[in-house]
Amino acid sequence: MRKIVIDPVTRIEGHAKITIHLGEDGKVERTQFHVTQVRGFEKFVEGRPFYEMPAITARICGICPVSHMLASVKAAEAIMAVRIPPAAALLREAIHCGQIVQSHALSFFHLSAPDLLLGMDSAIPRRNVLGLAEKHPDLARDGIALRKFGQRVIECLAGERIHPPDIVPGGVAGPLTASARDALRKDLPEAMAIARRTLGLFKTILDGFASEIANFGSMPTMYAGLVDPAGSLRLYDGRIRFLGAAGEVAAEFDAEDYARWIGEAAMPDSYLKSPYFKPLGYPQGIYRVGPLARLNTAERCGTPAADAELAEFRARYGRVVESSFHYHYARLIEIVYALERLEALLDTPGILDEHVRARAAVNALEGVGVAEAPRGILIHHYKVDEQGAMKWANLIVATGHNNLAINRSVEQASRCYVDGNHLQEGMLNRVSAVVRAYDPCLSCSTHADGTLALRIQLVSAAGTLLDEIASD
Amino acid sequence: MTEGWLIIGYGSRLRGDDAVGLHAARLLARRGFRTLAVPQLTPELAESIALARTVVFVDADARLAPGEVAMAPVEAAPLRSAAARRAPMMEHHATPESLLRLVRELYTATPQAWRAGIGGADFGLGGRLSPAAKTGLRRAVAEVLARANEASPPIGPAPRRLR
Repeated sequence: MRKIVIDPVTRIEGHAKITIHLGEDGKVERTQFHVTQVRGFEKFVEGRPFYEMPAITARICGICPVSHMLASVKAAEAIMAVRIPPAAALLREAIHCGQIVQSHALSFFHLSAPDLLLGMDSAIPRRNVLGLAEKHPDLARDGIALRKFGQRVIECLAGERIHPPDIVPGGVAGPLTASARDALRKDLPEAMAIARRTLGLFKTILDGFASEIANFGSMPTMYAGLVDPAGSLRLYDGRIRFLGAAGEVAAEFDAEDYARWIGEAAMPDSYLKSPYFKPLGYPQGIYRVGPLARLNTAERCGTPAADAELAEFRARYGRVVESSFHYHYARLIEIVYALERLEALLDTPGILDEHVRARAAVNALEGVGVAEAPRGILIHHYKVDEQGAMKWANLIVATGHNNLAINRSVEQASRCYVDGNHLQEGMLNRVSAVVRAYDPCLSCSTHADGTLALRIQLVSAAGTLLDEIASD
Repeated sequence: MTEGWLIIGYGSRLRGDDAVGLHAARLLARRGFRTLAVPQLTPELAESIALARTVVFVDADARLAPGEVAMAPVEAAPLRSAAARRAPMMEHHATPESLLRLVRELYTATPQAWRAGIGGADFGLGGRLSPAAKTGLRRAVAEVLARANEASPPIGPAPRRLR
């Protein structure tokens, strides 16, 4: 058997490789998406005070530290058995909206737009944001401005753009001032204009991607996302809902019951765990999380502009949208939603209340916290001793939930595009682009030197190098 | 003296001397410079750079001897150079060269730019600078101040107004 190795997969957060095994006829037989980095956070936090966990686990990621902090403080608050002040909840959700905007903007404008607007087959030296800036400068400027806005929301409300210090167990570190709120409020219309403009542009190019839509993980799976009691989309808090492939609600439960519904399998060639829906077993319990899954799972977004976009999305592709290519579309709709929610939150009078933190010591020995990270459901589960020292931790990250689906999507795209008898970079870029559609976060904080070379080798059954393509 | 100047100090606060650029930004802010202290260079800095006449990127440099300071002009990366192709442009972080190229492409701005490297001795986990890095920090701050004094009135083309 021959195999092709894509190592590393580029324009994703973290390190991964793809192995494509070929038959003697050069056709794809099977594929494997490997996550090649190990982090060890669950182990080395043992012994640390639980109240340090938000700051420690935020360092898992430089893109979505806010999500880790939110899941972590909620787990900590379950241990403290406190209810946080209403203003703190408003501020946290507003911070989270900022994070959704900046992270989704990074994914769309910086990581995937080069594929989408310059072409999957465009020359590698130009298939980046510099190339985008050359050909679509307005879009590139929009991407920078939108991401900067999201980061400014985080900085203004939580202290710093990356690894913000002000999200703490019991609430937030300090109240919001009217002047800071008004400054953010003033820039919201421009951010919304960019989001709407980009979504409009994206909808005009979709017809050019019929093949990718059909072959980028277009398959029936379950979906999972947080919803409120009315079934509306929730990003900061909510119950976990599993939707069946046909659109039926398969389960809905509180985060602390996750272990009853979600199992975690280990795969031999990857450090990333493979969660599955327990009642269906492994691997039949495959499900997806993240923007596409959230829009499938929720009945509605709950904000006017996002709901109008969601209605158009469903009119075009159905009530349950199966293709993972549409993560891009869903991501753009969620940016609109996050901006609308942010506006509503900033306009809530209680957001300026000065009581923003509850204090307590250890009142329970176990706690679970959940939030919708930009890439999907994030669960933190802690056990502590009577002094509050961490005894055990389990983290289920968004990309982990998607691991089985990413693997299956890679296989589908490889079977469609890869001809092992004649390698072309564009076809392998499509295999990488499938992974990018999920915007996997394989923990960007472990990037070594930032030099992301793409190297693809075709190796014979005897180990002979038959063909090779390298980016530089 | 400091009008039109932007100091961008970058590095990790958790890795000892890697934070020396952040400290430089903090000290130069006290001297009236507009400064940004960031973990790494990202594309969002392009807007701020486009508004400056002169930008100084201050970072720890493991290739220099501990305490040594090297300040040199930096240019926008040629669009199709091997360096530009290798640059991790717009993924998670950028280089001064690739950022300057982005500034030129998107905002047609060409601020004069310098890179100030400071040699460190200890990049292990920790929040303190080594004595050598502190020496380098003082030297780098003095170097920037001297160049700003020499360049008064501000050097570089007038900053553009962004849309």
